[in-house]
Amino acid sequence: MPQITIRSFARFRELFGEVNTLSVPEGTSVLGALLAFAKTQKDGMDELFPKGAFGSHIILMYNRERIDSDDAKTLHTAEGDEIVIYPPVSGG
Amino acid sequence: MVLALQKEDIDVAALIAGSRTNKDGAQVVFIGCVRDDGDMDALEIEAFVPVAEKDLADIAAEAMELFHLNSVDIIHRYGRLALGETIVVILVGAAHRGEGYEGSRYIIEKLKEKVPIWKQELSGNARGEWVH
Repeated sequence: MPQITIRSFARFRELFGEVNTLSVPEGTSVLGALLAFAKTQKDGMDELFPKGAFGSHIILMYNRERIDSDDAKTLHTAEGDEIVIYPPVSGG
Repeated sequence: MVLALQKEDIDVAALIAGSRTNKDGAQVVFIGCVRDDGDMDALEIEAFVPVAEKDLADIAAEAMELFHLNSVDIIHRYGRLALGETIVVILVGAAHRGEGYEGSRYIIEKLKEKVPIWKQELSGNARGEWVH
């Protein structure tokens, strides 16, 4: 099974740790991988899939490119991929 | 052009002197600093540095084209910053003040909207709220 990395920042880093690796079945979508990841984490479902759907406030990157949750349904993960999750930014 | 994320303090005077050219009729400097919002004595600033650096470069290029700027410098700090410390400096060089002010405003608003940087309030060793 392909192994992917999930990198988290800010509040999500505090909850899940900065870097996690996850093995997912071949052909798993980015969203599917996030769902599998959320189920492995305490509070993962509440934080990432509140009310059963991926949180609209969460920003996603797939191999360092920003994607939205629709992209996450159609993009399929492969060995070595990186998914980044982070909450709304607050620089400046 | 200086576009950077760094832990060290920012030498604003050196930045201004290094950026100015004879094409500039105006230099606009924006400085963001750590405000005391109560029950805090510092901010921890976290950044996704490689992506933030690319975003700063993209925003600077956009601003230069949109507002016909001569130069853009953006330095954003990360790590633990005490009350009153400088968080970010945006320096814009332009032929005229109008373009300079507009360009500077554009850059800070885009930075706050897009660039992966976060602030968390600290009080002693206790971590507080993430600022949004």
